[in-house]
Amino acid sequence: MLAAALALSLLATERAPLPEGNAYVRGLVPKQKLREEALNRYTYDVEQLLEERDDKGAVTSRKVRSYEVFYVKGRPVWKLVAEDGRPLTRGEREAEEKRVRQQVDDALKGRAVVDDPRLRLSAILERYDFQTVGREDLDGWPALVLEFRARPGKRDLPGDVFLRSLAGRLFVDEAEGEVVRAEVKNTAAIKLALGVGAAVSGLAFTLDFRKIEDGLWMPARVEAEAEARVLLLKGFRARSTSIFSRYRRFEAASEEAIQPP
Amino acid sequence: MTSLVSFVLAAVLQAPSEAPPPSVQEIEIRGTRAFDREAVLGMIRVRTGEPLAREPGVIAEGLAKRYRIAGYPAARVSASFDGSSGRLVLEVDEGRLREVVTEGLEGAARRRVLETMRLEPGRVLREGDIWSAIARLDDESEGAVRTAGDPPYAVEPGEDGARLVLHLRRRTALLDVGQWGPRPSGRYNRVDGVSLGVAAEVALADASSYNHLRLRARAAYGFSAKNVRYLLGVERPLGHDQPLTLGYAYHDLTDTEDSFRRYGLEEEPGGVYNTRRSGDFFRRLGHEAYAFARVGRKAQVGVSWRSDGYTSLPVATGSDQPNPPVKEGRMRSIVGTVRFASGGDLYPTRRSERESFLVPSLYASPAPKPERVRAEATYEIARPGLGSDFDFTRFIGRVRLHRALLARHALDTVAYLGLSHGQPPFPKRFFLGGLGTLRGFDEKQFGGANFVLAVAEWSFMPPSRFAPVVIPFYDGGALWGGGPGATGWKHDAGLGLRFPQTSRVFARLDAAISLDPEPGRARRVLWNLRLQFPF
Repeated sequence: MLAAALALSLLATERAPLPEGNAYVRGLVPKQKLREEALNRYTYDVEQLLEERDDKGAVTSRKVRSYEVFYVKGRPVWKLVAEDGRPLTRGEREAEEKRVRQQVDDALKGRAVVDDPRLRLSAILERYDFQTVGREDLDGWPALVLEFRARPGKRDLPGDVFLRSLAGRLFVDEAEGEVVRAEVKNTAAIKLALGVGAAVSGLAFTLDFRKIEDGLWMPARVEAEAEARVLLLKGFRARSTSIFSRYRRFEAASEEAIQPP
Repeated sequence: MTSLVSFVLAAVLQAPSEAPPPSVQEIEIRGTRAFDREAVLGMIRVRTGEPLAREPGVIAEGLAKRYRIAGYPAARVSASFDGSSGRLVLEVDEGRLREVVTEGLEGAARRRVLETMRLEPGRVLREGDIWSAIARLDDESEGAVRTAGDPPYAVEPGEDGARLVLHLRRRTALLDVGQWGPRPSGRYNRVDGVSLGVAAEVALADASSYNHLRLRARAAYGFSAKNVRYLLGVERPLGHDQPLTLGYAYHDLTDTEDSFRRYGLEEEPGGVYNTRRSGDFFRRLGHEAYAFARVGRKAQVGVSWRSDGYTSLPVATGSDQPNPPVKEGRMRSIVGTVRFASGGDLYPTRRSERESFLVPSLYASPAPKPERVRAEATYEIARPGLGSDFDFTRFIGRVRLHRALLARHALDTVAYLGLSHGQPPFPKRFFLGGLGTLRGFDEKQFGGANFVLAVAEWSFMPPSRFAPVVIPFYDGGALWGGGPGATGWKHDAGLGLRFPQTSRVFARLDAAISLDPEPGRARRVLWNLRLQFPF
């Protein structure tokens, strides 16, 4: 029996043991920060489907929006270029360009702009307790699967009222040490203004990343779903699917030279 | 047992070690348009000179999955590797559309769906294109064709292209019920008091032309006057893409010619409350038939026939402001209408276009702030020969300009020209003074048979979003004809503050002062607080 146990343990050690979750994720944070910094050098396109639903889940309205996204001082600026596959009219374009110029101006002058939570994964990573639960095959490559849950208590983070109610799973490509997929959902209702302003009963999103040039992993697709009640009365169910494409470098010689692409 | 253990140990410890994987000497990628070579190499993570760590089939499946995540639902990838030459070949089929199948629809309805969706066979099928096509179908069919399932389609890749199977369902009748408003007379006025209502519309859907027959019923109850006002109507567009619309309505309305005054140059959809009085009211009971033609997407011409009994309405609330009586009688008139917008569509949606057909006041149709210039003109003729107790003609022309200037500035102007002939009754005469006209003067301080009016507002949006928009303005106008004589050019200036800056729900405070007060009248500041609601 002893010999059999030895043989089985030899078999098991052919795969590396699972790393401790929190230490492993802390090791990923610098890479995530590099990714966020790299975003400043890129512009890309986003095609977004927004669906509103009724209580039975049937779609009541559907809107497709196409954006060009670029970054100014770490702030994402989304410029609308088409709706439902139709390019904007001249007037719509002018209004959008005016809005974008204002946003660029705000970012350059350091005025407060709300962070984009979709791409700020590193803020999420530092907020949670991670446990490595196994390995899964992801596109033919082994990926570590980590489950996470919010640490108790409040944190001085923007949007912590949301962050502390979230849990989910991360898929990390072991060879690259990169998050390739994240699945996030809420574990409790999220209440704004004691639930009178809004109560988010359901929130879930999935992020897929893909490798582009320079070894960078960038968002490829984000799917989000939310169910909420606003002002105690108005029910709200919505889903969005965003596809990120055409990553290309976007360098500016100086701050003053930054223009929307 | 001992022998079993020995066997296991031998199997484990003496298992032949695998040969090292062959190295990749060359990578050929065929058929990619969506991604360049570097992007594909990044996704498959194979480099020349490195060993091929995974089976070609696994690499192909991984790349196909990446394509699907990136919005190419019909993409297929095959891979082959020649171990002797070290050549890896990836054959990518990004998934061209072969045909669109409409489950649940046949014949003319199916043809119309395909035409509306504009998904061309032979092109690479992208998820975003499917989304946009379905959104166009939602928009153009106006509910006559609905999607079913989640997602409402399936993609079936194949050797000779992909099939897109749409799950659709046809609806024969569409019911729309909502609150009736905002109405010309508002939700509160001094002749009705609080007036609440409902609007119901049944559209008998035509899934092949999208020209639905609409039956309308609207009713509102005035709580102070204890009266019911209503409208019953029928309307149908004709032709492909609805270039012509015919309609008829029978109504009993608390009406006003002054609705344009309440909105000024902030034509946001929704309800408005102004602290200054903004209109006089009368009862209009009768018929209206109309035909409107859309000329391109930027223009519209129409003709309406009206036959109404006009009666005065007493003040029913505790207001100390009188409601002027009107000359009572039957008014039969024909109204010609021309409207044009230089930037964007004349009306952003079909629903807003429909609202423009049945506008009680002929000064302006309800429309959002124009992208550039918007021009409207109406010409109304009432003659005894038409069976009318009134005899007059009236022309109203309106040119509205909106221009964004620099990053934080905008110029808004409107100019009116009104000309009348004959004996227009009181509601059809022109008045200046008060909201929407000369804000530095009293409500309807000047009256006449003809008028010209120009209003200009300059908006400055401070950088801080917590600061209000600052809006200096100027109003100028003149009246002539019709008895009291020409007024000469009367004008005023003022300042408005709007907060929040860009929300459709906002408060706006205006202070206006006359630049040439009437003799004997002291110059004073006239204030108005406007609250804008989203419904």
